[in-house]
Amino acid sequence: MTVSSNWVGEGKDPLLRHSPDGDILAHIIQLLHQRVSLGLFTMFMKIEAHRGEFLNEKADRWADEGREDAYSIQWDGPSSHPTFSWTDARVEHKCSMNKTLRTRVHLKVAELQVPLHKSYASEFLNREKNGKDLLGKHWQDKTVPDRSKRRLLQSIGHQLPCAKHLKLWGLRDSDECRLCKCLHPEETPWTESLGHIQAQCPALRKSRIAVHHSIWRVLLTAISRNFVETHDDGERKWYFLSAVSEATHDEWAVRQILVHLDLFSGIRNLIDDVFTFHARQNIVLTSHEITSFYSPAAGSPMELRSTPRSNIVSFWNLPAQWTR
Amino acid sequence: MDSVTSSDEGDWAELKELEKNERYGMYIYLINYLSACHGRPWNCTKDNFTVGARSSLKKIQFQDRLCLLGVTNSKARDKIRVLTVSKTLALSDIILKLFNVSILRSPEWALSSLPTKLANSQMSAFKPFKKFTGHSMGW
Repeated sequence: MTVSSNWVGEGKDPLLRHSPDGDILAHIIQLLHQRVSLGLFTMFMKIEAHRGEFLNEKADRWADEGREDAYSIQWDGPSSHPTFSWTDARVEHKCSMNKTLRTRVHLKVAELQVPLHKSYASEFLNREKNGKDLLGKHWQDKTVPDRSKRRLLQSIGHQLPCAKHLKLWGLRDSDECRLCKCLHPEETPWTESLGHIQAQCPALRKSRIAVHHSIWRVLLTAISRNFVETHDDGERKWYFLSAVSEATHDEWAVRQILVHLDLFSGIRNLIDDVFTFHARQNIVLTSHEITSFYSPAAGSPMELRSTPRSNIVSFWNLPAQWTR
Repeated sequence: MDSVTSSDEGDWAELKELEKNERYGMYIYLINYLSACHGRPWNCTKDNFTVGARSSLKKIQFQDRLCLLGVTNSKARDKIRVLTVSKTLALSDIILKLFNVSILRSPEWALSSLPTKLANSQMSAFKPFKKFTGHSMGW
Protein backbone atom coordinates (compact mmCIF):
# COMPACT_ATOMS: atom_id res chain seq x y z
CA MET A 1 0.00 0.00 0.00
CA THR A 2 2.82 2.36 0.85
CA VAL A 3 4.45 1.79 -2.50
CA SER A 4 1.27 2.07 -4.50
CA SER A 5 0.37 5.38 -2.82
CA ASN A 6 3.06 6.98 -4.96
CA TRP A 7 0.77 6.66 -7.96
CA VAL A 8 -2.54 7.61 -6.31
CA GLY A 9 -3.76 10.91 -7.75
CA GLU A 10 -0.85 13.05 -8.97
CA GLY A 11 1.57 10.64 -7.34
CA LYS A 12 5.22 11.18 -6.58
CA ASP A 13 6.46 9.33 -9.59
CA PRO A 14 3.79 8.27 -12.08
CA LEU A 15 6.36 6.53 -14.25
CA LEU A 16 6.83 3.59 -11.85
CA ARG A 17 10.42 3.54 -12.96
CA HIS A 18 11.98 3.31 -9.51
CA SER A 19 9.82 0.43 -8.33
CA PRO A 20 11.33 -3.05 -8.70
CA ASP A 21 7.78 -4.44 -9.07
CA GLY A 22 6.58 -1.65 -11.29
CA ASP A 23 5.24 -3.96 -13.98
CA ILE A 24 3.03 -5.85 -11.55
CA LEU A 25 1.95 -2.75 -9.70
CA ALA A 26 0.94 -1.10 -12.96
CA HIS A 27 -1.67 -3.77 -13.53
CA ILE A 28 -2.90 -3.63 -9.95
CA ILE A 29 -3.22 0.16 -10.06
CA GLN A 30 -5.00 -0.02 -13.38
CA LEU A 31 -7.48 -2.46 -11.87
CA LEU A 32 -7.99 -0.17 -8.87
CA HIS A 33 -8.60 2.79 -11.16
CA GLN A 34 -11.25 0.79 -13.01
CA ARG A 35 -12.97 -0.14 -9.74
CA VAL A 36 -12.91 3.46 -8.50
CA SER A 37 -14.29 4.72 -11.81
CA LEU A 38 -17.12 2.18 -11.57
CA GLY A 39 -17.92 3.32 -8.06
CA LEU A 40 -17.07 -0.04 -6.51
CA PHE A 41 -15.95 -0.24 -2.93
CA THR A 42 -12.46 -1.67 -2.41
CA MET A 43 -10.99 -2.43 0.96
CA PHE A 44 -7.48 -3.63 1.73
CA MET A 45 -6.82 -5.78 4.76
CA LYS A 46 -3.45 -6.79 6.06
CA ILE A 47 -3.39 -10.56 6.65
CA GLU A 48 -0.63 -12.27 8.54
CA ALA A 49 1.00 -14.68 6.11
CA HIS A 50 1.10 -18.46 6.60
CA ARG A 51 -1.20 -18.50 9.59
CA GLY A 52 -3.85 -20.77 8.09
CA GLU A 53 -6.03 -17.91 6.98
CA PHE A 54 -8.36 -19.26 4.32
CA LEU A 55 -8.04 -16.37 1.84
CA ASN A 56 -4.30 -16.10 2.38
CA GLU A 57 -3.81 -19.77 1.67
CA LYS A 58 -6.02 -19.43 -1.38
CA ALA A 59 -3.96 -16.47 -2.61
CA ASP A 60 -0.77 -18.51 -2.18
CA ARG A 61 -2.28 -21.36 -4.15
CA TRP A 62 -3.33 -18.97 -6.94
CA ALA A 63 0.18 -17.54 -6.98
CA ASP A 64 1.66 -21.05 -7.36
CA GLU A 65 -0.76 -21.82 -10.16
CA GLY A 66 -0.01 -18.47 -11.77
CA ARG A 67 3.66 -19.22 -11.95
CA GLU A 68 2.96 -22.38 -13.90
CA ASP A 69 0.46 -20.67 -16.14
CA ALA A 70 1.67 -19.70 -19.61
CA TYR A 71 0.04 -16.30 -19.14
CA SER A 72 2.35 -15.53 -16.27
CA ILE A 73 5.41 -15.66 -18.50
CA GLN A 74 5.02 -11.93 -19.03
CA TRP A 75 5.80 -11.37 -15.35
CA ASP A 76 9.05 -13.29 -15.54
CA GLY A 77 10.06 -11.90 -18.92
CA PRO A 78 11.90 -8.66 -19.57
CA SER A 79 10.05 -5.50 -18.77
CA SER A 80 8.88 -3.09 -21.39
CA HIS A 81 11.40 -0.53 -20.14
CA PRO A 82 14.06 0.19 -22.77
CA THR A 83 17.46 -1.27 -22.01
CA PHE A 84 20.62 0.33 -23.36
CA SER A 85 23.94 -1.33 -24.01
CA TRP A 86 27.37 -0.04 -24.99
CA THR A 87 30.92 -1.29 -25.12
CA ASP A 88 33.61 0.61 -23.29
CA ALA A 89 37.20 -0.67 -23.16
CA ARG A 90 36.03 -4.01 -24.57
CA VAL A 91 33.54 -4.44 -21.73
CA GLU A 92 29.86 -4.52 -22.57
CA HIS A 93 27.59 -2.54 -20.26
CA LYS A 94 23.82 -2.81 -20.03
CA CYS A 95 21.39 -0.77 -17.99
CA SER A 96 18.10 1.05 -18.11
CA MET A 97 17.97 4.82 -18.28
CA ASN A 98 19.60 6.49 -15.31
CA LYS A 99 21.60 9.63 -14.59
CA THR A 100 24.93 8.15 -15.65
CA LEU A 101 23.53 6.82 -18.88
CA ARG A 102 21.80 10.12 -19.63
CA THR A 103 25.12 11.96 -19.22
CA ARG A 104 26.81 9.41 -21.46
CA VAL A 105 24.13 9.84 -24.11
CA HIS A 106 24.45 13.63 -23.99
CA LEU A 107 28.21 13.32 -24.36
CA LYS A 108 27.89 10.97 -27.31
CA VAL A 109 25.37 13.24 -29.00
CA ALA A 110 27.72 16.20 -28.48
CA GLU A 111 30.62 14.20 -29.95
CA LEU A 112 28.52 13.40 -33.00
CA GLN A 113 27.39 17.00 -33.32
CA VAL A 114 30.82 18.64 -33.11
CA PRO A 115 32.19 17.33 -36.46
CA LEU A 116 29.17 18.78 -38.24
CA HIS A 117 30.31 22.29 -37.37
CA LYS A 118 33.20 24.08 -39.01
CA SER A 119 34.50 26.65 -36.59
CA TYR A 120 37.52 27.35 -34.42
CA ALA A 121 35.74 25.90 -31.42
CA SER A 122 34.82 22.66 -33.17
CA GLU A 123 38.30 22.42 -34.66
CA PHE A 124 39.75 22.69 -31.17
CA LEU A 125 37.29 20.26 -29.65
CA ASN A 126 37.83 17.75 -32.45
CA ARG A 127 41.52 17.32 -31.71
CA GLU A 128 41.94 13.89 -30.26
CA LYS A 129 44.08 13.09 -27.23
CA ASN A 130 44.82 16.73 -26.68
CA GLY A 131 43.86 17.09 -23.05
CA LYS A 132 40.32 18.25 -23.61
CA ASP A 133 38.99 15.51 -21.37
CA LEU A 134 40.26 17.65 -18.52
CA LEU A 135 38.16 20.63 -19.52
CA GLY A 136 35.10 18.85 -18.19
CA LYS A 137 36.83 18.14 -14.89
CA HIS A 138 37.85 21.77 -14.59
CA TRP A 139 34.31 22.80 -15.42
CA GLN A 140 32.92 20.57 -12.66
CA ASP A 141 35.44 21.75 -10.10
CA LYS A 142 33.41 23.63 -7.52
CA THR A 143 36.42 25.59 -6.31
CA VAL A 144 36.74 27.28 -9.69
CA PRO A 145 34.79 30.56 -9.69
CA ASP A 146 31.85 30.82 -12.04
CA ARG A 147 33.39 33.79 -13.80
CA SER A 148 36.49 31.76 -14.57
CA LYS A 149 34.34 29.01 -15.98
CA ARG A 150 32.49 31.55 -18.08
CA ARG A 151 35.75 32.94 -19.43
CA LEU A 152 36.91 29.42 -20.22
CA LEU A 153 33.70 28.74 -22.10
CA GLN A 154 34.06 32.03 -23.94
CA SER A 155 37.66 31.16 -24.80
CA ILE A 156 36.76 27.75 -26.15
CA GLY A 157 33.79 29.03 -28.09
CA HIS A 158 35.60 32.11 -29.44
CA GLN A 159 33.08 34.30 -27.69
CA LEU A 160 35.43 36.26 -25.47
CA PRO A 161 34.45 39.94 -25.68
CA CYS A 162 37.82 41.10 -26.98
CA ALA A 163 38.07 43.89 -29.53
CA LYS A 164 38.37 41.49 -32.46
CA HIS A 165 35.08 39.81 -31.64
CA LEU A 166 33.39 43.03 -30.61
CA LYS A 167 34.23 44.49 -33.99
CA LEU A 168 33.01 41.34 -35.67
CA TRP A 169 29.72 41.68 -33.81
CA GLY A 170 29.42 45.35 -34.75
CA LEU A 171 29.95 46.60 -31.19
CA ARG A 172 33.27 48.33 -31.78
CA ASP A 173 34.75 50.25 -34.67
CA SER A 174 38.33 49.11 -34.14
CA ASP A 175 39.93 45.79 -33.29
CA GLU A 176 43.19 47.34 -32.11
CA CYS A 177 44.52 46.16 -28.76
CA ARG A 178 43.42 48.77 -26.22
CA LEU A 179 46.29 48.00 -23.89
CA CYS A 180 49.00 48.12 -26.55
CA LYS A 181 47.57 51.39 -27.80
CA CYS A 182 47.85 52.94 -24.32
CA LEU A 183 51.23 51.58 -23.31
CA HIS A 184 52.98 51.43 -26.66
CA PRO A 185 51.45 54.20 -28.78
CA GLU A 186 54.57 54.36 -30.95
CA GLU A 187 54.01 50.86 -32.32
CA THR A 188 51.33 49.68 -34.69
CA PRO A 189 48.65 48.15 -32.46
CA TRP A 190 48.01 44.46 -32.73
CA THR A 191 44.60 42.97 -33.22
CA GLU A 192 43.14 42.33 -29.78
CA SER A 193 42.30 38.64 -29.90
CA LEU A 194 42.49 35.91 -27.28
CA GLY A 195 45.76 34.71 -28.79
CA HIS A 196 47.21 38.21 -28.64
CA ILE A 197 46.17 38.74 -25.01
CA GLN A 198 47.66 35.48 -23.85
CA ALA A 199 50.63 35.09 -26.17
CA GLN A 200 51.75 38.33 -27.70
CA CYS A 201 50.56 41.45 -25.92
CA PRO A 202 53.80 43.24 -24.92
CA ALA A 203 52.05 44.93 -22.02
CA LEU A 204 51.35 41.55 -20.43
CA ARG A 205 54.81 40.11 -20.95
CA LYS A 206 55.60 40.23 -17.26
CA SER A 207 52.39 38.38 -16.44
CA ARG A 208 53.14 35.70 -18.96
CA ILE A 209 56.60 35.10 -17.55
CA ALA A 210 55.16 34.90 -14.02
CA VAL A 211 52.54 32.43 -15.16
CA HIS A 212 55.12 30.42 -17.09
CA HIS A 213 57.40 30.14 -14.07
CA SER A 214 54.56 29.22 -11.78
CA ILE A 215 53.37 26.38 -14.00
CA TRP A 216 56.94 25.29 -14.53
CA ARG A 217 57.53 25.09 -10.80
CA VAL A 218 54.38 23.01 -10.32
CA LEU A 219 55.47 20.64 -13.06
CA LEU A 220 59.00 20.28 -11.77
CA THR A 221 57.84 19.73 -8.21
CA ALA A 222 55.38 17.07 -9.36
CA ILE A 223 58.03 15.31 -11.43
CA SER A 224 60.59 15.44 -8.63
CA ARG A 225 58.09 13.83 -6.27
CA ASN A 226 57.12 11.08 -8.65
CA PHE A 227 60.25 9.99 -10.45
CA VAL A 228 61.64 6.68 -9.28
CA GLU A 229 64.90 6.20 -11.17
CA THR A 230 68.02 5.88 -9.04
CA HIS A 231 71.67 5.14 -9.57
CA ASP A 232 73.19 1.80 -8.61
CA ASP A 233 74.15 3.13 -5.19
CA GLY A 234 70.58 4.24 -4.49
CA GLU A 235 71.08 7.93 -5.16
CA ARG A 236 68.31 9.68 -7.02
CA LYS A 237 69.12 9.88 -10.70
CA TRP A 238 67.50 13.21 -11.42
CA TYR A 239 68.09 16.44 -9.69
CA PHE A 240 65.65 19.32 -10.02
CA LEU A 241 67.38 22.49 -9.13
CA SER A 242 64.61 24.95 -9.64
CA ALA A 243 61.90 22.86 -8.00
CA VAL A 244 63.40 23.37 -4.58
CA SER A 245 61.92 26.77 -3.86
CA GLU A 246 60.69 29.92 -5.48
CA ALA A 247 63.95 31.65 -4.64
CA THR A 248 66.06 29.17 -6.56
CA HIS A 249 63.67 29.13 -9.47
CA ASP A 250 65.47 31.79 -11.41
CA GLU A 251 66.66 32.09 -14.91
CA TRP A 252 70.02 30.61 -15.54
CA ALA A 253 72.34 32.07 -18.09
CA VAL A 254 74.62 29.70 -19.97
CA ARG A 255 77.52 30.78 -17.81
CA GLN A 256 75.68 29.75 -14.62
CA ILE A 257 74.89 26.37 -16.13
CA LEU A 258 78.50 25.84 -17.09
CA VAL A 259 79.67 26.82 -13.61
CA HIS A 260 77.19 24.42 -12.11
CA LEU A 261 78.38 21.61 -14.36
CA ASP A 262 82.01 22.34 -13.59
CA LEU A 263 82.61 23.21 -17.22
CA PHE A 264 83.66 26.76 -16.44
CA SER A 265 87.38 27.30 -16.17
CA GLY A 266 87.66 31.05 -16.27
CA ILE A 267 86.08 33.75 -18.34
CA ARG A 268 88.92 33.90 -20.86
CA ASN A 269 88.68 30.19 -21.55
CA LEU A 270 84.92 30.47 -21.90
CA ILE A 271 85.22 33.27 -24.46
CA ASP A 272 87.72 31.17 -26.41
CA ASP A 273 85.46 28.13 -26.21
CA VAL A 274 82.41 30.05 -27.41
CA PHE A 275 84.42 31.62 -30.22
CA THR A 276 85.80 28.25 -31.32
CA PHE A 277 82.39 26.64 -31.04
CA HIS A 278 80.83 29.18 -33.38
CA ALA A 279 83.82 29.22 -35.71
CA ARG A 280 83.38 25.48 -36.23
CA GLN A 281 79.96 26.31 -37.63
CA ASN A 282 81.31 29.17 -39.75
CA ILE A 283 79.68 31.73 -37.48
CA VAL A 284 81.78 34.73 -36.55
CA LEU A 285 80.65 36.65 -33.49
CA THR A 286 81.82 39.97 -32.18
CA SER A 287 83.09 40.15 -28.63
CA HIS A 288 79.80 41.75 -27.56
CA GLU A 289 77.81 38.95 -29.17
CA ILE A 290 79.96 36.35 -27.46
CA THR A 291 79.37 38.00 -24.08
CA SER A 292 75.64 38.20 -24.81
CA PHE A 293 75.62 34.53 -25.69
CA TYR A 294 76.92 33.19 -22.42
CA SER A 295 75.92 35.99 -20.09
CA PRO A 296 73.21 38.05 -21.70
CA ALA A 297 72.14 41.48 -20.63
CA ALA A 298 68.51 42.54 -20.52
CA GLY A 299 67.13 43.31 -23.94
CA SER A 300 69.89 41.50 -25.80
CA PRO A 301 69.01 39.81 -29.09
CA MET A 302 69.16 36.40 -27.39
CA GLU A 303 66.55 37.43 -24.84
CA LEU A 304 67.88 34.96 -22.37
CA ARG A 305 66.52 36.80 -19.39
CA SER A 306 63.01 36.56 -20.72
CA THR A 307 63.23 32.84 -21.24
CA PRO A 308 63.79 30.27 -18.56
CA ARG A 309 67.07 28.45 -18.59
CA SER A 310 65.88 26.07 -15.97
CA ASN A 311 64.49 23.60 -18.45
CA ILE A 312 68.03 23.01 -19.58
CA VAL A 313 69.48 22.88 -16.13
CA SER A 314 66.84 20.96 -14.36
CA PHE A 315 66.96 17.80 -16.32
CA TRP A 316 70.61 17.02 -16.10
CA ASN A 317 71.40 13.46 -15.51
CA LEU A 318 73.75 14.13 -12.67
CA PRO A 319 76.21 11.51 -11.55
CA ALA A 320 75.78 10.29 -8.05
CA GLN A 321 78.53 12.42 -6.57
CA TRP A 322 76.68 15.58 -7.52
CA THR A 323 73.57 14.75 -5.60
CA ARG A 324 75.37 14.21 -2.33
CA MET B 1 55.47 25.18 -20.72
CA ASP B 2 53.48 28.13 -21.85
CA SER B 3 50.14 29.51 -20.98
CA VAL B 4 49.16 30.46 -24.44
CA THR B 5 46.07 29.66 -26.38
CA SER B 6 46.00 28.27 -29.86
CA SER B 7 46.15 30.94 -32.49
CA ASP B 8 44.33 31.26 -35.76
CA GLU B 9 47.45 30.23 -37.65
CA GLY B 10 47.26 26.56 -36.73
CA ASP B 11 48.52 24.39 -33.95
CA TRP B 12 50.20 26.86 -31.67
CA ALA B 13 51.85 24.16 -29.56
CA GLU B 14 53.72 22.63 -32.49
CA LEU B 15 54.94 25.99 -33.69
CA LYS B 16 56.03 26.90 -30.18
CA GLU B 17 57.96 23.69 -29.75
CA LEU B 18 59.81 24.28 -33.00
CA GLU B 19 60.60 27.79 -31.80
CA LYS B 20 61.91 26.44 -28.49
CA ASN B 21 64.05 23.84 -30.20
CA GLU B 22 65.53 26.49 -32.43
CA ARG B 23 66.10 28.88 -29.54
CA TYR B 24 67.78 26.42 -27.21
CA GLY B 25 69.45 24.17 -29.76
CA MET B 26 72.65 26.16 -29.97
CA TYR B 27 73.09 26.24 -26.19
CA ILE B 28 72.58 22.51 -25.86
CA TYR B 29 75.07 21.97 -28.63
CA LEU B 30 77.56 24.24 -26.88
CA ILE B 31 77.20 22.50 -23.53
CA ASN B 32 77.65 19.08 -25.11
CA TYR B 33 80.63 20.42 -27.04
CA LEU B 34 82.27 21.80 -23.90
CA SER B 35 81.45 18.62 -22.03
CA ALA B 36 83.27 16.59 -24.68
CA CYS B 37 86.19 19.05 -24.74
CA HIS B 38 86.60 18.89 -20.97
CA GLY B 39 86.12 15.12 -20.88
CA ARG B 40 82.98 15.36 -18.76
CA PRO B 41 80.13 12.84 -18.74
CA TRP B 42 77.37 15.36 -19.44
CA ASN B 43 74.85 14.73 -22.13
CA CYS B 44 72.49 17.64 -22.41
CA THR B 45 69.00 17.15 -23.77
CA LYS B 46 65.87 19.23 -23.68
CA ASP B 47 62.25 18.28 -23.18
CA ASN B 48 59.39 20.61 -23.96
CA PHE B 49 56.14 20.56 -22.02
CA THR B 50 54.05 22.95 -24.03
CA VAL B 51 50.49 23.53 -22.93
CA GLY B 52 47.97 25.91 -24.42
CA ALA B 53 45.61 28.04 -22.38
CA ARG B 54 42.64 26.04 -23.53
CA SER B 55 44.38 22.97 -22.10
CA SER B 56 45.60 21.91 -25.51
CA LEU B 57 48.10 19.35 -24.34
CA LYS B 58 49.29 16.44 -26.42
CA LYS B 59 48.56 13.67 -24.00
CA ILE B 60 50.77 10.89 -25.33
CA GLN B 61 53.71 13.16 -26.09
CA PHE B 62 53.47 14.79 -22.66
CA GLN B 63 53.35 11.47 -20.85
CA ASP B 64 56.17 10.01 -22.92
CA ARG B 65 58.39 12.90 -21.90
CA LEU B 66 57.47 12.41 -18.27
CA CYS B 67 58.38 8.75 -18.68
CA LEU B 68 61.79 9.75 -20.05
CA LEU B 69 62.31 11.83 -16.92
CA GLY B 70 61.77 8.83 -14.70
CA VAL B 71 58.05 9.07 -13.92
CA THR B 72 57.34 5.46 -14.76
CA ASN B 73 54.06 5.14 -12.91
CA SER B 74 51.20 5.75 -15.35
CA LYS B 75 48.89 7.00 -12.62
CA ALA B 76 51.49 9.51 -11.49
CA ARG B 77 51.97 10.66 -15.07
CA ASP B 78 48.27 11.19 -15.50
CA LYS B 79 48.11 12.99 -12.17
CA ILE B 80 50.86 15.36 -13.30
CA ARG B 81 49.02 15.94 -16.55
CA VAL B 82 45.82 16.81 -14.71
CA LEU B 83 47.70 19.08 -12.33
CA THR B 84 49.49 20.86 -15.14
CA VAL B 85 46.35 21.47 -17.15
CA SER B 86 44.45 22.63 -14.08
CA LYS B 87 47.20 25.06 -13.14
CA THR B 88 47.46 26.31 -16.72
CA LEU B 89 43.75 26.98 -16.93
CA ALA B 90 43.73 28.79 -13.59
CA LEU B 91 46.70 30.98 -14.43
CA SER B 92 45.56 31.68 -17.96
CA ASP B 93 42.42 33.06 -16.43
CA ILE B 94 44.53 35.44 -14.38
CA ILE B 95 45.97 36.93 -17.56
CA LEU B 96 42.49 37.50 -18.91
CA LYS B 97 41.46 39.07 -15.61
CA LEU B 98 44.47 41.30 -15.56
CA PHE B 99 43.84 42.40 -19.12
CA ASN B 100 40.31 43.31 -18.20
CA VAL B 101 41.43 45.18 -15.11
CA SER B 102 43.99 47.07 -17.15
CA ILE B 103 41.64 48.23 -19.89
CA LEU B 104 38.82 49.08 -17.49
CA ARG B 105 40.80 50.82 -14.77
CA SER B 106 44.37 51.65 -15.53
CA PRO B 107 46.83 50.22 -18.09
CA GLU B 108 49.46 50.45 -15.38
CA TRP B 109 47.96 47.39 -13.74
CA ALA B 110 49.46 45.33 -16.56
CA LEU B 111 52.91 46.41 -15.50
CA SER B 112 52.42 45.86 -11.79
CA SER B 113 53.90 43.02 -9.79
CA LEU B 114 50.45 41.65 -9.05
CA PRO B 115 50.68 38.84 -11.64
CA THR B 116 53.85 37.51 -10.02
CA LYS B 117 52.20 37.45 -6.61
CA LEU B 118 49.14 35.80 -8.03
CA ALA B 119 51.09 33.21 -9.95
CA ASN B 120 53.15 32.35 -6.89
CA SER B 121 50.21 32.19 -4.51
CA GLN B 122 46.90 30.56 -4.01
CA MET B 123 44.72 32.40 -6.48
CA SER B 124 41.51 32.23 -4.47
CA ALA B 125 43.07 34.21 -1.63
CA PHE B 126 43.52 37.24 -3.81
CA LYS B 127 40.23 37.49 -5.70
CA PRO B 128 41.75 40.17 -7.92
CA PHE B 129 38.67 40.77 -9.94
CA LYS B 130 36.50 41.70 -6.96
CA LYS B 131 39.30 43.58 -5.34
CA PHE B 132 40.39 45.76 -8.18
CA THR B 133 37.46 46.03 -10.51
CA GLY B 134 33.77 46.39 -10.36
CA HIS B 135 31.75 46.06 -13.50
CA SER B 136 32.62 42.93 -15.45
CA MET B 137 31.77 44.16 -18.98
CA GLY B 138 30.97 40.62 -19.99
CA TRP B 139 34.27 39.12 -18.90
